[in-house]
Amino acid sequence: MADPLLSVREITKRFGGLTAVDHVSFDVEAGQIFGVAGPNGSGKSTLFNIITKVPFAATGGTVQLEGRPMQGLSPHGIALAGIARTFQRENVFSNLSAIDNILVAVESRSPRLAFDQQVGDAEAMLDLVGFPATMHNLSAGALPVFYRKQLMIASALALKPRVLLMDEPASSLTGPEIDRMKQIILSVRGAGVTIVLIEHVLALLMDVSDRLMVLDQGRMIANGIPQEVIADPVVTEAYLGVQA
Amino acid sequence: MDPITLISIIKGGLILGALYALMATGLSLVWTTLGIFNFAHGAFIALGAYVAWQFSSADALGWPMLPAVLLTCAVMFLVGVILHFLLVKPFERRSDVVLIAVITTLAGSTILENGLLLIWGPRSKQIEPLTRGEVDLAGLHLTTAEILLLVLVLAILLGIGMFLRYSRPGRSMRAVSQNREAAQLLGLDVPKLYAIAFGLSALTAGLAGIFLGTIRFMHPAMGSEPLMKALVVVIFGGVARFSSPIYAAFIIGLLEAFSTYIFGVYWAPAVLFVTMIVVLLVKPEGLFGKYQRTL
Repeated sequence: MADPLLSVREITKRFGGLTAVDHVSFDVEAGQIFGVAGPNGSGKSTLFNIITKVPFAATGGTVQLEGRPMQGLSPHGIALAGIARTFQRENVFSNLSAIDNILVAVESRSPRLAFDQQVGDAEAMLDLVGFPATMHNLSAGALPVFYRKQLMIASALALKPRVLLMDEPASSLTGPEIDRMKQIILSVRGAGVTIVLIEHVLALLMDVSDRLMVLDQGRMIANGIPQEVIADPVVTEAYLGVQA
Repeated sequence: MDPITLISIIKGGLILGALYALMATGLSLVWTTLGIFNFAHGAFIALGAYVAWQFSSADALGWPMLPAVLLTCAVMFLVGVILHFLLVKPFERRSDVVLIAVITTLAGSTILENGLLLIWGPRSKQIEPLTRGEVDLAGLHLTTAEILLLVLVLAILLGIGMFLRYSRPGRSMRAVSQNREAAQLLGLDVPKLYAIAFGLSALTAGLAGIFLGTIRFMHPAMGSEPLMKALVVVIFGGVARFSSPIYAAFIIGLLEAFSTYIFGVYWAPAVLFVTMIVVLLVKPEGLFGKYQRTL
């Protein structure tokens, strides 16, 4: 088996007496979509927080990207090293135009690139996620939810990441929008970006994931082929609270 | 009120407004980006004036005004970056940073003002006017220094606005002011941008100090009163946009000029504060504000 692209070992986050993420380990191979599921409060988003160090770092454990340790890096250093993230809520710069939102990321990754090329890169990222060209100059705060999500994903992609951590991209979306989001996720993978995907819409998660990890109360309770994982009685119990 | 008096009051109000705009812009730059209020801003104003005096005065180094101003800008930017490192950065991640920054920047202000007293002494000083000359426009008496002050301040504000809107660090600073976490995740070096914002704020304060030093006598506490006015401007106008405190500054400047003429110099500050309180009651986010801090 090839070396994993992203390797997380024994990662832990404690808040005083509460352990939000408890010695979780997993590997993600290049080109995979690695699904992460679990009930509310199971530590999924905290896992993303401590991998990216925003807004807080892990209490213990290690994260390696292509064998390179991430612990010593600052949050922006981790982003530039190749781990990008999107949020459940549309985390965009509301007072900046759509294209300026992307330019912020393009400029931080490629500060010496000519401005025309930076704009070209930014437009290419917006095209990749299907963002309408007629809306490039609209203020991000004025965009509908789906477009803000597209914008957030395009901003993360503008960093040219090796791994994209996507936190519930389908939340607050309608059925047709969830279908479009699925196409975006597959397009991103098609562009060579490995994805770690947290999602509550299980149909979407099962459709796109190559592997699936389930967390419960901060601990990993399953990790494997999605169909096998979802049939695991331990997973059913975590979700439904009853023995299968 | 005859037309000449009216125009004279408006002229005075516009000059005051221009100075307040420069001071308030620096203050709001730090507030919108770092989310703290810098009480050392007044001391930065005084420091800028003294440093420029040191470079330009015939009693000191006696350099021509342009290199003196440019070097003062560089010194002020550096001082801002260093004081950010000393007074704010150690506490940036604390939840009570707003309160701590009040204390640390007040302490910084006291140290700076006493430093000025130690270095340059208590004797009042004044920077040479930028130009010497007078113009009569339809009975209105203007000095060329006043005209230059207005033009330069507007050019500086336009320059800062263009920097924030079109330059890479400017765009990044606007992004950080709107969403620190998202900015970090997009690879922005937030601590560095905070230091740049603080440096830029100190630079604008220094420029305001230079202008102030050409029209008033300098003393180490010369920034205290302008700081209060800048605070009124920022609260009065809000910080929804970069231009919000600028509009507010000119309104406050004109209000002060008219209230000084009508009620006298001792009542003018009272009129300003009463107006500010009324605005806060009617529109708590400021006259041009929204319920958010952003650049």
